[in-house]
Amino acid sequence: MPGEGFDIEFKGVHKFYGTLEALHDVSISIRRGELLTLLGPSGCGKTTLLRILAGFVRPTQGEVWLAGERVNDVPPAKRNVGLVFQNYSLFPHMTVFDNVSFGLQMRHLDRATIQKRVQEVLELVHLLEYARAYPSQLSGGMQQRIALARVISIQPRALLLDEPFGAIDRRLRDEMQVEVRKLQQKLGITTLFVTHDQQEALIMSDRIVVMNGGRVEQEGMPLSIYDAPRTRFVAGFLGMDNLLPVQVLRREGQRAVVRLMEGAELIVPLAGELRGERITLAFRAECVCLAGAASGGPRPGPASNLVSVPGTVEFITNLGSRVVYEVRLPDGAILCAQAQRTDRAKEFIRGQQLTVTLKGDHCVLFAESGAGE
Amino acid sequence: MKTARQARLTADFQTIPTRSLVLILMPTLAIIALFLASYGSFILMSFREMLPGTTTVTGNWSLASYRRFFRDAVYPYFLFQTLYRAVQVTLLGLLLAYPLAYFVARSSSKLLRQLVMTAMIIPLLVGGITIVYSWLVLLGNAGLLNAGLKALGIIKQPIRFLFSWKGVIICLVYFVIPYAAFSLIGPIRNVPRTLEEAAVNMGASKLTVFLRVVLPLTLPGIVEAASLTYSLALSAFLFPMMLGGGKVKMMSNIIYETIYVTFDFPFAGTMATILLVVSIAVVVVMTLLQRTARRVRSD
Repeated sequence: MPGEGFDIEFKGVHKFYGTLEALHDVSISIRRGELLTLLGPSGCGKTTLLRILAGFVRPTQGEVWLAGERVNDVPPAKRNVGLVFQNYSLFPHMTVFDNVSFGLQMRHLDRATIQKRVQEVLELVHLLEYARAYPSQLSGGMQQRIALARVISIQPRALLLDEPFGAIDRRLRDEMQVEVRKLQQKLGITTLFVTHDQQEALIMSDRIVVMNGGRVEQEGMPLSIYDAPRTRFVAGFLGMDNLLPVQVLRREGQRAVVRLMEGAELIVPLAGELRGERITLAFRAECVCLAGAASGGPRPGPASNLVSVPGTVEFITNLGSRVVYEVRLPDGAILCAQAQRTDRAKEFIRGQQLTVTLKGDHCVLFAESGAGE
Repeated sequence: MKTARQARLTADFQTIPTRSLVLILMPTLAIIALFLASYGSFILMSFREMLPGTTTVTGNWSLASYRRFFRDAVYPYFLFQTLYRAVQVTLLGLLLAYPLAYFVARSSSKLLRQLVMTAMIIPLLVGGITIVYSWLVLLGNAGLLNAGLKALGIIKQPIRFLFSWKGVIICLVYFVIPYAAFSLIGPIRNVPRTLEEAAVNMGASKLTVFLRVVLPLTLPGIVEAASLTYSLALSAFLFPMMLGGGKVKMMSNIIYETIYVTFDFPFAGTMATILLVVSIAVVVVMTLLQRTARRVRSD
């Protein structure tokens, strides 16, 4: 039986293509009205999972539940889920009206109902006046909205979005993301969203599942995944540019004392278990604080929440509103630091000596298993 | 929108001088010109006068051959038969070629795809005589097909395939299938598979997906395949001659007999010209149809 309040459930789903394992024991539940994002690189299995829900791919093992019904054996045409493709996949030989009404025609609704429903959904995506146009006469963003209207019209049990903004240019994409999210919340439609773009995942999601190599790497609220990745992969994929090997000296309850280098110790909060040989300290470039003068080497002293080490600016990338510095530490490791340009005093030049300060609260620790690489 | 780079690339292509483009066409143009000249002389021949009761062509111009063609009901009848049978062959050929083309365009198995392609290429490789011989073996009263049908209890008496239209049509259909299929593969492949999936996702059955999405989108390709098939069937000569056994004839056979049996070159030219005009008319109509189909799609 499915759990209470879950609209979509994957239970122990495996998928093999020949001997290639595309999905390994994936279990994911999506609550009613929730937007869950599958985030991962290409080939991580996220699209396969979406296609399993749509019914185009059969799982080798495991169950798929949809609104309290086990749908493993329900053919795709009978699942009543709305799939939006990356390339929109509008029927080029049909008008917008015929595209949007296609699913309603398949349900043999009467003409008046179809007319009314198409009008409603076209109003919802603000394209009512384009009902008689052909898809090729519309812009990419408009086509995507029509694709959305087409699936919403059938009042699907779930909305499936397969990289829907991949083909839209940057500026429009930001708009569309917000618009789709608002629409999804307004309709309260349970949604499975697939993307490889972490920014997009953060904007769109109630919850994110990060996938890698056919497995679930981490699952959680957008910001908690952003702040506290639990594996090197998730950290890297969510833009934690700095990954340093460290030595764990001791644990103090929910905190650990780690040594970055000789004389530089830092107290870092622990999110979960920490087992394994190699421990990595991860933090974002924007959490590294740079100060003008060299500090003259790590000062020995009791470990605290802050640590300062000297460094040399090796490379500078100007991004306009901010600048990214690559800084070499005394032990040879390279750090990425990002500075907002609001403080002009903090602009440095190549080769400049400076002090790098890290706050333990901004860092996460995780153990690396050999297989995680 | 064109990027600057794309615009530059296009410009580079456009700078190939027309002079050099014409140069590479020269050999082909020469051959085409020679052929057209000889064809033209054949057409001119149709307007020549024949001395009655002889095989001598006089130097006078005359429409006698054309009058003869339309006066004698048997020739328009042969023309009609030829057109009608070509329509039959085209329809049957398309019906059988489409699934083949769809399979090749969509199958995920490379091995099966190549097997089907090879099977399609074989009739093109072996040539007409081999095809005819194979079908003679298959279609005889005691042939494989009749034996099979009898064994299955479908028929009691053998069907007379040979020396009738049935055999000729079967063989012609077999002959045109590869041409039709090969020209359909591209258009089918050009229909994104996600369009079919989108239709299924909207609740369409397989048949509906085909009728509402794949078929309309491949219509230009179908018209193209049809005009190719129709032209091939219209000019059929070997199959009706060999499998028709003199009982069924298409225009090409009549023209052949007129040349080699009665030596009436003006009349042969007349029939060839009429057949040519009809063929061109069909191709023109098909092309117009195709344009319409494309316009509907890209509007």
